[in-house]
Amino acid sequence: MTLPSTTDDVRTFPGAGAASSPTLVEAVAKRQRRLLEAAKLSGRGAVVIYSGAEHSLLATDGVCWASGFKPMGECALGIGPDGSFELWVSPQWDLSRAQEAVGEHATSVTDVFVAAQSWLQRMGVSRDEVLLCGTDKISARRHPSAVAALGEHDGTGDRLLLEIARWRDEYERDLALKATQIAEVGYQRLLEELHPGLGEFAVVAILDGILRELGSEDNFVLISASQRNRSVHPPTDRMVERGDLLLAEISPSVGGMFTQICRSVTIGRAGPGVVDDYQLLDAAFEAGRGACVPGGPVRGAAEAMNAVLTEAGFGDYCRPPYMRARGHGLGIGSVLPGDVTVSSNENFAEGDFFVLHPNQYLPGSGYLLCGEPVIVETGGARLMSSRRGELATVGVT
Amino acid sequence: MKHGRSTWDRAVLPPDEFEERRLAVDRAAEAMGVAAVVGFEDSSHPGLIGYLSNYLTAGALATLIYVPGREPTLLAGLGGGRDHPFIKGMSVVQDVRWFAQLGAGIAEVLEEHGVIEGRVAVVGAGECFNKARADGVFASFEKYEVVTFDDALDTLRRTKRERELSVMRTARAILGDARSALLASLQATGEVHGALVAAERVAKLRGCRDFRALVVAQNGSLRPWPDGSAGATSWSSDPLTVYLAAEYLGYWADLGFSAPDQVGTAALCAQALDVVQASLRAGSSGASLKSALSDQLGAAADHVTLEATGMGLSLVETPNLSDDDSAVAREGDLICLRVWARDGRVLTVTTRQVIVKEQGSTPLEDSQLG
Repeated sequence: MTLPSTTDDVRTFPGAGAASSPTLVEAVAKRQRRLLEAAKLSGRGAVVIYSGAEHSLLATDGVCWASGFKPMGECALGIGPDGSFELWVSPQWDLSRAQEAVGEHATSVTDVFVAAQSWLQRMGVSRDEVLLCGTDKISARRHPSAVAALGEHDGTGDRLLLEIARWRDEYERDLALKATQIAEVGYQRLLEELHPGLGEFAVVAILDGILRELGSEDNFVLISASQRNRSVHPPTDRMVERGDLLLAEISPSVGGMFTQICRSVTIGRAGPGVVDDYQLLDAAFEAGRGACVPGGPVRGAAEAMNAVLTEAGFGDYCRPPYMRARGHGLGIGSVLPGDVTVSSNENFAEGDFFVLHPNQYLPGSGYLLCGEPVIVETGGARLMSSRRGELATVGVT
Repeated sequence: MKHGRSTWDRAVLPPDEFEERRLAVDRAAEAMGVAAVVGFEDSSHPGLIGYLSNYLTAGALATLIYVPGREPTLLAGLGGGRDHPFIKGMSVVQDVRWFAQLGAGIAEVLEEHGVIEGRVAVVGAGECFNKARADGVFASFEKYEVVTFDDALDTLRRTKRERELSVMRTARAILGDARSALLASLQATGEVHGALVAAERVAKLRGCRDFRALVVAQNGSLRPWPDGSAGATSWSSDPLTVYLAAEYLGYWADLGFSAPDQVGTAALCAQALDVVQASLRAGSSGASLKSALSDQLGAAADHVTLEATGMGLSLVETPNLSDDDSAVAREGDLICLRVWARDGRVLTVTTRQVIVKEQGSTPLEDSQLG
């Protein structure tokens, strides 16, 4: 299996921490300008973004978004009224990587809040003039230090950052595309190595290696195999057996940008019920995708998927614990539009990037996965993956 | 992301192990006069939950409500209990629930266990919650006197039980195999990224849930692997210095090694490690260890950076001798010694886990021999 020849080799694509690419430098400068302008419109003259370096599929990192540097420890970034910026980095040994990303703007500090306070004084900016983004990332233990340095902040900056970063720029879209290519190629290579007798955790070990080789710096993965899955979950000792349905949420990250594909694989020939149930979820996916239009309600996509299942007699299964969400946002600085659920109050916006997945438990087949990353464009939701996933089969002799 | 083998290995950590830990928590709770202990866990802070239940979350916050003498209750999972069959397979605690409103859920369980007033201890809230979330959760605790159990749990966790030490020895042995795979791959291909992939694969096939690496890059800087650029050319095999860490059954181990051609700094590292271990005993502080380095290495000590911290369910835990001026080693502590030595672009590292005795310390590998 080789990567598509129409794209760059994903292994050499510049990611966070390697801002040798002028594209990333330009993207970061534009992001900072957009955020500063939004801050000024809200009556603030400067911006401080905090990162606790807790990276996960469902979390954002404003520092990574605004600098191109993916923190390994507590970091913060200040954008002054004149557009100048500083990046305060910990631990000290990671300064070199930060300087590769932003040059001399990066300095090593022992306390990012103290550094931010000192910077404000040098800039002649009062605490009240600061828009603090990432207050939701500041632990309760660190909160007093943040208040002492920057005063009380109500989370306005958190929401503003989510809104500004919501429009995934070309650089982020490229990262998402590369990550999705890695996911697809990695999945195909996994199928070649998958066989009965492997432990679930061994499947993940093999997949991790493949994704790393392809250029993913992180991966959120859930793999489970069962004759009747109750859910998809982290890998256990359970051995993959003929007759199992293996579920794989494959979510590699490139440059801090996660993607996700959701795949179902039968170990041995699939029974007719599994095929029918998978086709049902496949139809639900397309119904939901049709509702992902700019300005349309997010809950509309969930309702469209639920309608397909309800019509087939599975309306009672369109709720927890049989499913959780019909998708969720993915991004470095923003995960809007958030969870795709019937209780969402968000509307889709152009540039939204998320995974759409009608993953759920059905009484005949158990839990099934079927999902793709999509991006909302003027005409609707475009697949980020090269093609729709199919119910795969391995181990047929 | 912690997404490798996620299991409860009953042969290595049997139920009675967790019963003993529960009794230790009982004693600490009684000494503090608390009616219940409520612990919080996220993927970076296993806290009370990893210690008492074996459940280690990969993402969603988990909460344990423990009333001494009663079966604990675990609040965990996303989305109304979809994950509970999996969680019950990994957890000693079998009363697993989910509440949309966490604070109200905790209060409901406390009342169910008969705790309607008095002193309740919490642990892990400072790390697992932001201020707004903490305020929201603790708004449901108005009728209780809330105290912290953080120090009490640290005290329990810093002295490892025999089965914890066994798991950590296994983790260290797995890292040894990962190192062998790395060196074999490097010898075959000369390519560092691929060699680290091979090392991670070995660690995860041997059952590690998480694997980390720091590598010296071509410019002499230390950086996490992979760092997002993922270019094979970012990493240096000449000179080669790698720091590996892995989590196995919840417990961490680490290992540092360098290519043998870095004779000067490697020898300094080894010498510094021996000096530190020889001077470490009950009562040692970070300052006393650094003083020993200066006394015995002279000016060469300026090239050495020492980390001396606890290790166990977290890669770095109490006591943090190197960063906390008030921390003092106690008999029974498991301390991880990490010594870094730099000379220009050359950086080497070596690590050793030791158990503190009254008059010295013993390497973890040797401790099972008595």
